Amino acid sequence: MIVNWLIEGIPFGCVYALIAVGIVLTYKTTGVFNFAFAAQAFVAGAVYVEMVEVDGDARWLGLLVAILLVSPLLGLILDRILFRAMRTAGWLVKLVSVLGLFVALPEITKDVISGQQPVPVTVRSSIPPMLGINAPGFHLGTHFVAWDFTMAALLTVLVVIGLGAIFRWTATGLQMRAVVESPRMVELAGVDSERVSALAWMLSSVLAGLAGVILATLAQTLDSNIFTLLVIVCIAAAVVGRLQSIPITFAAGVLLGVADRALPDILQSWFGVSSSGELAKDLRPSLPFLVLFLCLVLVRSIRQRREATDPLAGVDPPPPAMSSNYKTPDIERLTRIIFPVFLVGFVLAMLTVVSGLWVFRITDGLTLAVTFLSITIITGFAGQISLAQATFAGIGGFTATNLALDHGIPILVGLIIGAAVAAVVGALFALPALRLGGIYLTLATLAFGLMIEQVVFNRPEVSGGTIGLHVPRPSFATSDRTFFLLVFGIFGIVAFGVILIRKGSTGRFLAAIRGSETAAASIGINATALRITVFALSAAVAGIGGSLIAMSGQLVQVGNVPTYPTILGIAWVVLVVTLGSRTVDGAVNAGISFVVFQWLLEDALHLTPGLFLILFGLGAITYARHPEGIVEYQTRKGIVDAGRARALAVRAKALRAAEQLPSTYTRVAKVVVPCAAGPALYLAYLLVRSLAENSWAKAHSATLLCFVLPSVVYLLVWMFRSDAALRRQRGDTRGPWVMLAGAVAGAGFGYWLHSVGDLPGTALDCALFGIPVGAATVMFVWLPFQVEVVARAKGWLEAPTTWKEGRVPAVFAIAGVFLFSRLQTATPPNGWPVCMVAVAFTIVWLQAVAGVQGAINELAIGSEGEARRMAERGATAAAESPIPIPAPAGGSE
Amino acid sequence: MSATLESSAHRDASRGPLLEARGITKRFSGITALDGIDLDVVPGEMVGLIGPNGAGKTTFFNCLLGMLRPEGGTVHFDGQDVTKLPVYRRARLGFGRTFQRLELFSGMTVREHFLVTERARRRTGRLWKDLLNLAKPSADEQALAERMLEIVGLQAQADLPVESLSLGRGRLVELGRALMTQPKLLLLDEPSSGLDVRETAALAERLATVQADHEFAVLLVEHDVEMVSNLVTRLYVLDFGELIASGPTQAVLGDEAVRKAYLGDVI
Repeated sequence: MIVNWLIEGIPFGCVYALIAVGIVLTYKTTGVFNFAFAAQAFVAGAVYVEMVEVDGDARWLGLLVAILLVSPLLGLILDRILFRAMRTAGWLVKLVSVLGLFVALPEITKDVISGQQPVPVTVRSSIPPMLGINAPGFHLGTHFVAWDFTMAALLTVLVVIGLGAIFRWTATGLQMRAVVESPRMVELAGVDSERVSALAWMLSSVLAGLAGVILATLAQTLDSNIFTLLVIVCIAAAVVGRLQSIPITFAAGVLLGVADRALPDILQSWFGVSSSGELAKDLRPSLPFLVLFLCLVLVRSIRQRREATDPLAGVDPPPPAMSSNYKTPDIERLTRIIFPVFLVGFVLAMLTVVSGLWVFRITDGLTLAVTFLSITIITGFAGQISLAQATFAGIGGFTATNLALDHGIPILVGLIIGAAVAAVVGALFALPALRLGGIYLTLATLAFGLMIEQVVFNRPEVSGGTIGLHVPRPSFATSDRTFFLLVFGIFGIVAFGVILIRKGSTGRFLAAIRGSETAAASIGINATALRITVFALSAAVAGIGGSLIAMSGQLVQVGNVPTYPTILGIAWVVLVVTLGSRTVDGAVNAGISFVVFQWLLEDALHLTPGLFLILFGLGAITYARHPEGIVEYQTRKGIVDAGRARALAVRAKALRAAEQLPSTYTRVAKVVVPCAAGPALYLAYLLVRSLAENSWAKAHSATLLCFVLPSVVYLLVWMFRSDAALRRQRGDTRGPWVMLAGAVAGAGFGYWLHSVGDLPGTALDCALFGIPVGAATVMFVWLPFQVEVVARAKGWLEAPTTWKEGRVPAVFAIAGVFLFSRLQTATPPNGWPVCMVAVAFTIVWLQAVAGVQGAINELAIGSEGEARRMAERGATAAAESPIPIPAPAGGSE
Repeated sequence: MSATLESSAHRDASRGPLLEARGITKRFSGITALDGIDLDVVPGEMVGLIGPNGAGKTTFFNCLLGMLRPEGGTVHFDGQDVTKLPVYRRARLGFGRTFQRLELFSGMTVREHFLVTERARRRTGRLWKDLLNLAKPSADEQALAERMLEIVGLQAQADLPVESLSLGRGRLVELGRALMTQPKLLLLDEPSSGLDVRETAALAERLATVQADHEFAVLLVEHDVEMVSNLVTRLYVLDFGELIASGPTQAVLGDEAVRKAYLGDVI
């Protein structure tokens, strides 16, 4: 029997081992625990299958392209746009960004390459025939061994040995390991750490690509879910190797394969459990999670590992203060009045004028927001990432539902009991697990979540089998509107509690622990006890949220559309952390946008399902740059920018009174208003028509064009003239050519999109449409760059803006084109969801225009005007000026 | 030779030692970092622990406070065996410490450092109190924090986040935080490292005043022999994990073995 297990288990185990080794290698060379490894593998697998199965049988070419072209390219791109920005960041930032990729990358791949449905993979893609081996397998004694698996096993061994050698004996390998410890130190030693880390990412991506291709051929289907789960299985092997040892990881992977094969037999012969019975069926898939969990909790050396901190971390500037610090008393007083008014207005509107469907949706968003507050507690306050929050929500929801259905306990009482049960389970889990540090705790929560989902939630006694369970609402809140009131009330209570905890002793102790755990212990704070309390509390809040989610949908289930899927829980965490995990607003924004975006993109605009996951996942990338959350960042930036603009306007007014305003100064409003006029008029037109027809008007491209075209033309003219003006101030002379190149590229891009997609209109239309878009896109980046050039020519130390500010509007322009091309023409979307999106995009562009004009103005009166004033009033004026006055160019005047 | 320097005259027999470390031994995979170190501190006295780099001074500190678990030896504090207690329990018993590499609560202001320490010392921080909004710093907590700001001379920086402070001021914050715990024994780990001569002198002066006022014992790990010799009454000298001398400051500094190991051959 053992021989049987070995022969059938080892090849599978080798595939586990390959992925596990890939994860370990990535961790060692980049310091990132690469959850997205599955996603990278999926990309390569999809490319290979697409080339071989769909486009003909260029098998060798497919293999080369998938593993040696697409994979390293992907690694390079990821390094450039994501990992480079966070090389010196802490583990939390890295983890969230990778989780974002984990969520987004498979969806992008499905959208662009493989389509939504799993693709069957036939024998055509199989690798052995490419080497001339056409037999399906061979016999080893009485056992049949498939060539596919043998090849995979052999390849794995070869790759592992080769990589191990590179890693141990080459200079590059040594540099990779060093860069992980401290990129800055390595740079001090004269090594280009950016090049090394790019190389590391390309290498690990190639490994992922290899794993992806092998997986696709072995599983005989290309299904992102299978990839994801398999990789989580392999994490168990990687953890056994303590994310350090390649040989141990390899052995653990192989053993896991064998154990997976042996488990049903062992269960049957030792415990008499039938291999087809319920328990065996539930237990087998959860075996790796069990292994992972036990390893994490029991192995001493893992338990005591802490993430190494960069010895040069201290050179980072301190994190900026929270936006509330920037608020003037006036603004604060204003918010204190506006906020309650807004709340009352919101509730009244929800109870009266808002349509039933929207009441339901917003309520749904609020139930999510309650659940997300549990993430605020555990991640925002305690600084830990838990991927089991969906599980705790499920524990709450299933408890409340089952108590109500089986014992007639009122659902609200059940909600409290469910929260208590979740808290107890959370505390029991935390007791062993919280001794783990950072990433290991996260892995333990993931293993725990998947285990509970498999073994507990999947049982029909718990979740009602395939049809699910009907969840009652409290008798006084059966209608959507009264139920909204209930949810709103509970949300208010929980949110208030969360704020009090943040401000109270617990919140401050947790902040101290986040700051320095050692120092916190040295003043007598018991970090472990506090964390267990907070973990239990967070589980309880998730439990409350879970019950509310259940009541909102009036159904809990597992199966195809599970109510509490662990994997979706990962997306939750990513979303909350991206939008801001320290504040209640972050949780609310996350809850509401989860619902609104899903509706907007899928129901209203008929875009690809999963697009909102892509957006949220990519949003996590911003987390690397703004760990305080994008909402918090935008708020602070808005306040600072407004202050700067106000100061500028004050000075311009003074100059105008003295009739010394230079001609290059143009009021921002004078530029923004004409740009905004077209879209605004169109919006008004749509509203009027909708009111007249008493239904939402459809968006017609012809009318849209009539309204918007003048504004677009104005925008382009403004861009050209601004560039010309800057050019005259010793700017870069290539502006017109850049604009022309953008226009040509835009036209070509439009033509290409028409030829591959289902863009409406003719190819000429699309090419024409592309001209202004392309020109505007490049100019959004070029103009701030030009400002930078001029500022440098004037000898300014700090330019009023940088080309980086232009990235956002440019990306939005490109995204706008893609969104437009994805509007499936078969079911034309309503006008107003399109308008909502268009308005949001337009605001981004207008902000960019205002920003550039503001910067140009600053150039104008910060230089000529200020120089003149300084000459008149002496250098003391510099100290009194409301904004810093750049030094005039040395000696030129 | 070194054994003869052991002086029991400085022990206050009536009160007994506050800290009594016996035979502390710590190994790091084969390297013996500490080899059976004995060390006493009586209440209210200032004791120095010196030694060249790598002698095991910080390791010894970490063993005393429980951040490292020694392989052998016992630590008695205030008549109680604390060898197996976790760090936070020892801190509550009256150990206060500063760190060689700054360990500040990033993101907090100086005042918040002191307030949170005071709350931790009182052990009145409870979750239910937070939820009933009873957790605001009380007037006397505020007053104590204010007094500590005065003592360490950081009133002007009270509401700045600690990241924006210089290294020297960061050390003062750590000192203030340790003092806020009202320690019976203050462990100072190289308080002068990274400070210039003037700053070191100011720190030593401040330390001496505070200690005179509050009468806690101090165990000082230092590099700067001058600072040590001005402050402490007794010295222990570590070299390669072994105690090579101990006794009254001047006697130890005059010891030949010490001069050879630590001060270099300046004959």
